[in-house]
Amino acid sequence: MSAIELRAINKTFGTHQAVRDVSLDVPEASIYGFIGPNGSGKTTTIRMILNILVPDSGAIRVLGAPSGSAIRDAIGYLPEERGLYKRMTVRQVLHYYGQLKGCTTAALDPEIARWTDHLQLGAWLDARVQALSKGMAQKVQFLATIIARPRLLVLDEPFSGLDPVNTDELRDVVLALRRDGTTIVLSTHDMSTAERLCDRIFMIFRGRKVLDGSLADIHAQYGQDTIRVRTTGGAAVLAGLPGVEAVVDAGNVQDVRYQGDPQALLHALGRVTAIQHFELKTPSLHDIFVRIARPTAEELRTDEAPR
Amino acid sequence: MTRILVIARAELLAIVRGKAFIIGILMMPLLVGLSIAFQVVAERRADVADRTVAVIDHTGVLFDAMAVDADAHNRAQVRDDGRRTGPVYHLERIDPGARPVDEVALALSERIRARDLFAFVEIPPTLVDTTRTDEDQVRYYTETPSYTALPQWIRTTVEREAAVRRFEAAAVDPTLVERLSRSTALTTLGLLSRDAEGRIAEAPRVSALQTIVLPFGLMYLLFIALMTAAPQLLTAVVEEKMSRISEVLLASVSPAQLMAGKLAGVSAVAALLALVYVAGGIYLALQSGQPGLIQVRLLGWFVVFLLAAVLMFGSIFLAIGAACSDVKDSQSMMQPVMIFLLLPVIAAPMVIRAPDSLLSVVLSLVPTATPFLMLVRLALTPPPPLWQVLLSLVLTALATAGVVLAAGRIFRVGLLMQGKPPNLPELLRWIRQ
Repeated sequence: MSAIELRAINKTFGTHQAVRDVSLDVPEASIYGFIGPNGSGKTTTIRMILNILVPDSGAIRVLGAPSGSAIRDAIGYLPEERGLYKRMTVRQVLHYYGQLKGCTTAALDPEIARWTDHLQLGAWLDARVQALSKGMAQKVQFLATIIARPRLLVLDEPFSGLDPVNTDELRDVVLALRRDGTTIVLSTHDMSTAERLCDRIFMIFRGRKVLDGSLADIHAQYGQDTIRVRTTGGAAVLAGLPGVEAVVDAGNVQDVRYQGDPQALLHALGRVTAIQHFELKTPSLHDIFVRIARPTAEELRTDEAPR
Repeated sequence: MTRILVIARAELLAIVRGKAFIIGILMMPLLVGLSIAFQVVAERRADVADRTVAVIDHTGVLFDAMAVDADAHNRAQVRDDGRRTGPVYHLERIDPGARPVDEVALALSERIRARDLFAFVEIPPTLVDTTRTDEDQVRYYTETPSYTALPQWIRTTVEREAAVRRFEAAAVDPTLVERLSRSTALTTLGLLSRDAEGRIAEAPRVSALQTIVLPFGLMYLLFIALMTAAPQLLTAVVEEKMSRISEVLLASVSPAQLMAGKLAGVSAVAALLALVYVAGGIYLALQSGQPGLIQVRLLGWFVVFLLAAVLMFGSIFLAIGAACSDVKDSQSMMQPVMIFLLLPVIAAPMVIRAPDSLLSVVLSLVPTATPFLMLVRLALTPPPPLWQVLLSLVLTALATAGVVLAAGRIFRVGLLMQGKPPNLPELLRWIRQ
């Protein structure tokens, strides 16, 4: 069964259509990566899943039920921009968020003890949130999201701002929750995190779904059309070579999107410069994201035009 | 319902646990007590200086009498233990002799500038004549016109002594005049009624406390309880919105539940405050032998109007908080609301003076003013007609329901909005959505 089913949902704010005909199935007990540039409709889609916003048209089912207040208790949500009640203690925060999900303090206390112990927050239970470091406060907010044992977790940039140790700690918790059957929607701009953690990736761009599938599916869709080269001539010698569609200059190396036989490019390049490195490369999620979301030359001209 | 109570409890505890609330709840009676004590002390102690006044008495007969009166006044300013409780006036006779009066007045002015004198007066020669006219005025010269106690004393003393001289000149016995024109005391009483045994009961004396202090006290208590509790909603919502806590809350409860919980929490805060102060007031009334000030009927109305005021203004504050993205924006949007809040407080003295005037009746029926002004009218005797009270309740209930509904819609939309605050047309669009 799908944990989330979106069927042709649309949402418009004034004259701006934020989400257009998006359909999606998020399998249970999976980690589904939500990616997309800022302002592409990602947050609006998440808010509709959470029933904070209602779609203008289309249907949403979450955990087998029509999206609505009935399944709110089964969903945990960690927004990108974090905030906690600074004057509450850690225990009060966890009680409050747990009670809002329908749990009693008696049911919450063992969970609070277990998780705060697990994340080395036990000594801070009765400290006010304002006394915590940023990393600890972030862990408290993460705990507040999972303390009521949600069946669906929506995490928006859960690792941003954390040091590597805390990142690994929370990542392990996310993976453990998935193993226990929790479905996780992971919204992130960190493509490497999405590649490492997510079973499937959904990308939204300008309100439309542009990617949806496993990493293998997406790679198969985009194929090996990228060649990484290092030459003495640098990026300048690549422009204008036959078959070269785009060049991403990373300084010492250039990633070339190429249509045609790579051997032909190798020969053509060898005639104009000394080749130090030539590698056929599967495009990363980052490359694919940039390829989709980068403004076209036409858009750049429009943006730069005097207003 | 459980979620609403969870939110209400959190709101209540967030406010009540804060140092500001504890300090506020203790400070309010302390500040009131201190200000009263300060006024009493200031009145007694602030003006204990020696004031020397030069007197140019063109009548030639008033100065001696004034000096006697000044001695009597000065003796009254000294307590048995020798401590002075008021100013002492020293009169200095000035005889211009052959000098022009202007020269003398200039010289006295220079002495005032040199701090040798406090003031001088010039009494016209015709003041004691039976033919004196309104043109004959006592002229008081000073560098400190804001000090009014001395000129008032001079005016009273000169008028009294001059009147005695005028009566004597008219061959009328001044003591007889004094006796015949002595002012009559007026005692304000309530209405007579028959007691249980059929006898006519004595009319009760009307206490000033009951007619002035009670209505003012109740109105200010409502105002303080409302202003201590309701604006906290605004700052709490703005903070939740700025830190995106509101988004997490909306993933757990509906906007209506969130708003209801917050209103319930802040109503509980206001009720708690009122309870503390009312209990204190009852204790003081009993201690000071004024049990008549304790009126259960009024306390019932107080609770009703407090609830209405908290719901109405609390909803408005919630809506403002939800519509704004920072505290600065919310402050400017608060200003029109504050005018509505202060208007009844400003109008209250007028309502107390004439509770059944057309303006008082109309103002007490305006829903934003009803909780304050109808409460004031109910605390006065006779209370307003029942139809006016019921009409005010219906109007306030309808207005409160409308405000809560409109605020709820602004709250629902505004909580997720960021950036510049909406203008009036946008707010109206949110309400219509």
